[in-house]
Amino acid sequence: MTTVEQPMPDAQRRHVLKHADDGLIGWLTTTDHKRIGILYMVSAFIFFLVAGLMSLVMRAELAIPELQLLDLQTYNQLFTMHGTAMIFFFATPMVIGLANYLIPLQIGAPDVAFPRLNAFTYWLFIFSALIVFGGFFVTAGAAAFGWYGYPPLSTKTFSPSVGADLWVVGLLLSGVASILGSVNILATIFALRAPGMTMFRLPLFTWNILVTSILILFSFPVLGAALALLFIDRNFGGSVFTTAGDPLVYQHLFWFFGHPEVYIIALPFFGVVTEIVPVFSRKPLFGYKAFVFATILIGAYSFSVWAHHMFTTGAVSTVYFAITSFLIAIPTGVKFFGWIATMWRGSLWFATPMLYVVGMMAMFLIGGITGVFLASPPIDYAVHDTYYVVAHMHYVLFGTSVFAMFGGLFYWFPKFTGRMLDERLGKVQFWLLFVGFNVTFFPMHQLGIDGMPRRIGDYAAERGWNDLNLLASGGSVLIAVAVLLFLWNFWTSRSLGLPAGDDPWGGHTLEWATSSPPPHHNFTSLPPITSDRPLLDLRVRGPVRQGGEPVGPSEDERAGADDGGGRG
Amino acid sequence: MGAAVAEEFRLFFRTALYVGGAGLVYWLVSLDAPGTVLLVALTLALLAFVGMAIFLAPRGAGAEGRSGVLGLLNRYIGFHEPVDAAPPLESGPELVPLGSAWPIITALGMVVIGLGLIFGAWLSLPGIGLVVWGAVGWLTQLDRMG
Repeated sequence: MTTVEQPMPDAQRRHVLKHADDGLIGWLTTTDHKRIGILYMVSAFIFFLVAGLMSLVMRAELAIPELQLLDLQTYNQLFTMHGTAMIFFFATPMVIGLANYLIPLQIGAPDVAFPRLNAFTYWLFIFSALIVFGGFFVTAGAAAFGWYGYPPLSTKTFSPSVGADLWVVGLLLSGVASILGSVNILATIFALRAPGMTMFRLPLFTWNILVTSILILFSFPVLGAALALLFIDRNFGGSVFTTAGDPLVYQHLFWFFGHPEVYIIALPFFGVVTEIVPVFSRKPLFGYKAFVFATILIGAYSFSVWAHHMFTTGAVSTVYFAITSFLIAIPTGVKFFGWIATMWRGSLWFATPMLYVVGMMAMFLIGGITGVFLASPPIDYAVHDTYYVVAHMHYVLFGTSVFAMFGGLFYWFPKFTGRMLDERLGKVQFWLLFVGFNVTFFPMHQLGIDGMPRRIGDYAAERGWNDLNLLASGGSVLIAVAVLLFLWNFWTSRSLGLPAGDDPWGGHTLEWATSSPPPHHNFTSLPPITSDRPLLDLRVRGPVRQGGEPVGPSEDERAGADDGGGRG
Repeated sequence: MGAAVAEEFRLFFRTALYVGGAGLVYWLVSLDAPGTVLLVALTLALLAFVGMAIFLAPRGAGAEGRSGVLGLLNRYIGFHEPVDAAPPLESGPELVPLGSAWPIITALGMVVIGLGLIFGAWLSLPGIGLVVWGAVGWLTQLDRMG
């Protein structure tokens, strides 16, 4: 790649130290953001497999009426741990893993601001997850009160198991890890950007991670407070959330964290989509500032909608929370229109990352629309705690995080490893996942409307839910096959995949300006940064001196190349 | 007045304005104490960052064009960034760090303390030991390496 070198400061080069050991000790003691990012992503994917396995067992149980495989208490443990693992140990750490690997590369930094704190947060996250899963190995089993742990069900009286305490303490420590991780990412973005990388030249993935980090910073402490008080209630005679106190306060605290958490999961994957769409449309992103504005608005709005999860308590203002919930559709719509406008009249290239991104847009659209229905109190009263909600949240969470995750992994795998994932296998996997996902979750809308409650391990044959449950269980097998196909693709491609080169997709952002995989210090030189798409500028305009005259194509050629897209 | 507030902090200010407004409306609509307290606490936390912004803003430098109320709004909540905005707040020589065993030791210590809360205070003692050992090692690692 042709670049006009913008050398790293001498001081930076002087302190480039030797690579860490490649062995086990090297990985255990690493402070390299790329290695920690990989550790996060691999760990999160393992938890995804474990939680996915739990869902397969649950779907097997629900495929036909009556109990066959599980007793009800085990079923309760499985859906609790499935939700907990997917939210706290898959989706959130997958986001943190991607951010860890990519943020320093996208802003032209040699590492994160606090590398050892970064390692600390990873290990604290892993140990916390092991504590929570340890509940399966104690008498009476793991937590069994649902992933949001409402009291009084989660108090000692109704959930005396040690597994419940392990759940509380594990999530508390995991929250500490998330808060420290967000501080690290904020400090990195604020203080380590390369010369020329102003805030409004940050890649959109970085912007989304920035807003996500702010959400983590201000929402996880609230969860921590709720869990600490719950622990005191359970073990030290407290009565904050017991019937002597006010169980509803727990719901307020939990959802004040819980709804921003939805966007903590969704926003980074919106960022992934926003990175991929322009590259595979062969156009600059349409409406850069509109995307930034929408991201900030979604983040701000997410703090004022929490009690739409509590409509049926009858103790919250339905009008207020309905209106604020409807408002979120506006900035989300801005993003959708921005993606579509970027694709409009672009030279679309449906490689695997783009397939996943388009799939994600379709699935999230369905989840978003059912979300607008649920934000309407009369509808929410009718379908609350039914399978309609299960369908909605899986379209939002699975539809966003899993589809965009695979899109992102196919897109950045060449950067991580220097090799391409197999495109043909990737496309087969996409269609299996797309069909499997819809066959599994779409029927749940109807099951909910038909009155099937969520979180039941057993139902009577005469309720009329048999066929749709069997269909949903069949779909879940397709999802499992798709995931196994990805594992095979991943395993074979990391050593046998086609060599990727530095920039196989024609990327727009700085991570594609360094080698694949990048060296320990990330960059030996940086291209000039005069917009949010420095590499596209370089290809279109040729070498440009930082702050100086462009050299290369004429003004006319540049104007022609700029047609077809623009920044807001 | 006149100094441009860095975009990093205008972000917090805009969010504080929204959350503060949402808190006020929420109180008027619902008279619900827990939710209002949460929104007010969040507003104050966000404003703490804004206070830091005002403290750190360069005086008399980087002034943006418009004056008056519109100029004030643009400086504090606008989406305009000077073309030549200096990107980092301040950065010295960056280190590409060596590996360190102290983070994993400290994390392990914290987890053992957490387990001590469940299984007995006696278990917290080795946890505290690990945390202290890890923290001291962490803080003195670079000094020991010269």
